[in-house]
Amino acid sequence: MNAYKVKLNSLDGRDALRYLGLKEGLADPAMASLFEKCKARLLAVIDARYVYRVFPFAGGLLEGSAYQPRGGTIARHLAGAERVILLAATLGSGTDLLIRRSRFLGMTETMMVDALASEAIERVLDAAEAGIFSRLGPDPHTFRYSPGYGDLPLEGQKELLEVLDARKRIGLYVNESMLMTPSKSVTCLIGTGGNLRGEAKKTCRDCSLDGKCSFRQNGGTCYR
Amino acid sequence: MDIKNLFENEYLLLDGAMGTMLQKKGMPLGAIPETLNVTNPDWVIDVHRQYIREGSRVIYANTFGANSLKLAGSGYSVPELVGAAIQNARRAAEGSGAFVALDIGPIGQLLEPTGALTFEEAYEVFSKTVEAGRGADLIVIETMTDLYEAKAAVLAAKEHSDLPVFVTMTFEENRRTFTGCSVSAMCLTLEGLGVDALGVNCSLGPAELLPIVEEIARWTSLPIIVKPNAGLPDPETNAYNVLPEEFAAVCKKMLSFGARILGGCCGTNPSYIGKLREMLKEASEEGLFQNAAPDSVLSLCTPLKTVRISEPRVIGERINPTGKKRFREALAAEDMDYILSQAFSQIEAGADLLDVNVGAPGIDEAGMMVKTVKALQSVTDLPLQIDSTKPEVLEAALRVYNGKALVNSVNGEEASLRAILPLIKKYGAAVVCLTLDENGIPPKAEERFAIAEKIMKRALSFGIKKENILIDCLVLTVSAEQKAAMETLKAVRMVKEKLGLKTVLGVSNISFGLPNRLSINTSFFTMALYAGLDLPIMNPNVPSMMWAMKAYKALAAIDENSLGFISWSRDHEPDDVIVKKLRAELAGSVPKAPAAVPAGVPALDIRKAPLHPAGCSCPECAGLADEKRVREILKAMETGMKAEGRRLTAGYLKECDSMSIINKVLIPALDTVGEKFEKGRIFLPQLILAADVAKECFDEIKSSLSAGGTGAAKGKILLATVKGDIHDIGKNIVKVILENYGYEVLDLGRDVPPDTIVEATLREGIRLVGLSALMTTTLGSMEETIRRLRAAGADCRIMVGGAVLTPDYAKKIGADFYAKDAKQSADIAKEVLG
Repeated sequence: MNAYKVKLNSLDGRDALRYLGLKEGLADPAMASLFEKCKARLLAVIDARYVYRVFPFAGGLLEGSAYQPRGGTIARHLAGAERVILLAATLGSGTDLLIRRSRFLGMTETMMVDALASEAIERVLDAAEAGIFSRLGPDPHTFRYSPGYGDLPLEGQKELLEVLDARKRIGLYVNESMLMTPSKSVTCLIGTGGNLRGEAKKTCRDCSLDGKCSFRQNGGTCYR
Repeated sequence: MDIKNLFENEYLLLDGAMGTMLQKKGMPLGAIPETLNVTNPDWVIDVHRQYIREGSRVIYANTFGANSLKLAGSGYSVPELVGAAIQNARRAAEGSGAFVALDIGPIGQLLEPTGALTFEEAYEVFSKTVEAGRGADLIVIETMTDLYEAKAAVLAAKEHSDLPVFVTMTFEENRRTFTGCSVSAMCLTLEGLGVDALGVNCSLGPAELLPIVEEIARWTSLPIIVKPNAGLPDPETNAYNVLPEEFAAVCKKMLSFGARILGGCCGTNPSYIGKLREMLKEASEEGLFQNAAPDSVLSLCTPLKTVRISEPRVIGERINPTGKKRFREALAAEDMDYILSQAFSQIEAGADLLDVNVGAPGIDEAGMMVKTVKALQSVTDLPLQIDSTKPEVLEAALRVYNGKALVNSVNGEEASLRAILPLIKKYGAAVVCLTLDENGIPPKAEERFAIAEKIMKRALSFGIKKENILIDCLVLTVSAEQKAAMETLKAVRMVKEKLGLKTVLGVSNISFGLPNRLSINTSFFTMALYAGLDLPIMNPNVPSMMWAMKAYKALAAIDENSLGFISWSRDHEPDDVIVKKLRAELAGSVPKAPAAVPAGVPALDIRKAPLHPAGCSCPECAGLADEKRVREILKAMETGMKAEGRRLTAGYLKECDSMSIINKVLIPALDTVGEKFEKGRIFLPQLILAADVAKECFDEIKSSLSAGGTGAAKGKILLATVKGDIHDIGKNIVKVILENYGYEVLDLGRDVPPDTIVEATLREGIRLVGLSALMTTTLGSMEETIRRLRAAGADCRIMVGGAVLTPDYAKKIGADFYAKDAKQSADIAKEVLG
């Protein structure tokens, strides 16, 4: 178990625009330039890191882990996997400071930075996933499944982070309400190996808002 | 033997890892290592003995995580485990002469502003551990990543014991801790607080720590502690990759930087310590022993930013209520947003430091100062100048300040010297000394110089370092005493040349009572810089003052190749252009670009214009004028032109009263934007962009009201993100929109306990409460808050919002309204408050 850094050199902003409800992009040049400014500011402060551990998986249990995923949706997701990867990633505390600070430049900036940061953590996770499977070998694997999604309880967050020693390794904390700080952080589970049955590509099936969210109503999804 | 003598002139060998050694002995995974002090004392004693056998002169008692928060629910108390740990270490050290350290690690919870644990709470937690560990020979605070937490621990150690204090923080390869703390900030702050040695431990191996140790040596004169990991862990096996010989060999390179106290952290064992002992013996014989020779130029800092006063720097003076009614009102209402906006405008304008003064009649100055310092350091990274005449206010601020601050001020009066200088020493600040005493401000430069010299000597006698003493030779109003200006400048030069101290002046005082103050100010400012002024206290929002500063630095060859001046020119309008614009505006002839008609706004119908004389105030003409204003404001809103919105509003204020601007111009314009948003023709960012502009317009109206003295708010609304939830972007958007509609918003912030909300609702007679929660896990505390509000009989309606809420759920938990977005919250406010 080691901590890795991810360097993001650019963001295309497509996800951020979608989160902001602007699927057609920014028509106004002033807004577009503000968006680019926010992007540059964000990229300058991101200090992204991730940490992971690979556990043998049998009978629905992670061997040798104090954290065990509970619930039907995650069981279906990991079904048939031989190994399960616990992964935690964060953009670091500088991003939170930038979001707090943006408020005094304007709420527009705050929303843009916030949405861009949400996109950035997804890109960091993509890079983490690529890094992990370049080390483990290119096995097929499921998409990243996070506590709070489907019926996988958010309450396991604390144990999950402890198993990864995330506070010490990547500076990631969790409070009593299971909120993580730095706030732009993600924990997730990935199944791999064996007779994998979970989806490799994200779907809406386990989402509590399936079909009802504003993304779907506008003919899209919240993910790429 | 006194431990301080031990590392005065020789190397001091610490121990290695404890946790992994206990694991090897069979400590189960997930166990609290400190409980072994009671359950398996023999194991702990044996580990200590192994290290002592290899030469450790200081052993760290097994108390790293023994704090009241981590031990809660463990069945053990802090005194119990700390007492047992020290006893075990003492037994192990018996007859060896080894010293026992009380080991204090991080609490394990994040401190404010990122986390929920307050600085004061952290201090209490550390105090309990220190009190339980007074039987040790020294206190070691280690593995800190948050400078604020380290400061709380150091204050607790020094205020609850007389033991020497060592502090080591944990850095990543980018030479920052996880919370962003720099090496310089650690050194400046901790040395200021009077620790006995400082340095680095954990996270990296010796090779990676080498450049960090080199940097530490540039910032401190204290002995440097280094406790590296045994390299980096292998990702697959988790084994560390540096063996004892190599470990010691790399550590040897650190000695030439002034590393003097060495040991090992994660992955090390007694054989690493043994190799270190051999290496240190060799090094002593080779005469490698080295003292650090740090920077002697004054630097001030926050964790993220160190400002070195190696050239003139600007102290922004705007966070100060003197002569500002709007600011005093903000203080009385504890309107932190207004105060922070003052900070941000100065930061954008190029301030290097910010002066903070919150003294006004009827204000609890100490309480407000603490609140303001904490609020400022949650969003800005500029070092602060704490400005007050009251020692208790200065102390309260210095305590909670995160970094090394400047204090304004002490003066030559005996009472002032006695009260202020000890605070400067204790908290490691720098201090501005005013050249006045019991007899007032002396007219002659020589007399002011004499006071400066006297204060300097006193400060030195308190152990304050020379670079931390700054002199303000005091600017008097030139219209009252014409010769005083040159005397002040003469004194500045004398202080600079003869005492070698940095100088400070409040430059804008010079021009009171004269016309064209700006011209006097900029000229005097340049003269003062030439005389040796280092830190002007001034308004950085005045462009000509900043230009004068940039020009001086170019002329004085401080700004190499004038690169700073050139880059400033790229981003700022030259002085003459600004002045021309101002003049034109004052004369009412500012050439305006023809306004493009924003989409969706009906063009003004010229045929409807009545044939009345210009300036006519009949209802028809007034209506048309309002229509024109709505169109103008709308354009500014839709294009996000904040300055334009402000300028337009200022113009309208000359033509009509503030309430009619709000009701007939701003709100109709906002309604138009809101309607487009509801119809899906524009999206949230554009709505917010418009709201940001509207906010500027309201600020303009507010400041004119402050000048005139009448309130305009339509009713007060309380907003809060509920207990346990720290998401506040949504709540802040709602706040901006509600304020735009003329409501006064009492914003309690995030993570707000139910009781605080109930208390404020009752106290302020609030009729509409808005609660926000983003997480399913915090909906419970929203429900609890509503229940308590009802139980307390609060006569208010409650609206709720947040990503995971639904109208059904809102009803279920007893809310009166569900607001799906910010626009709807304004509709609800209209319904409830009118």
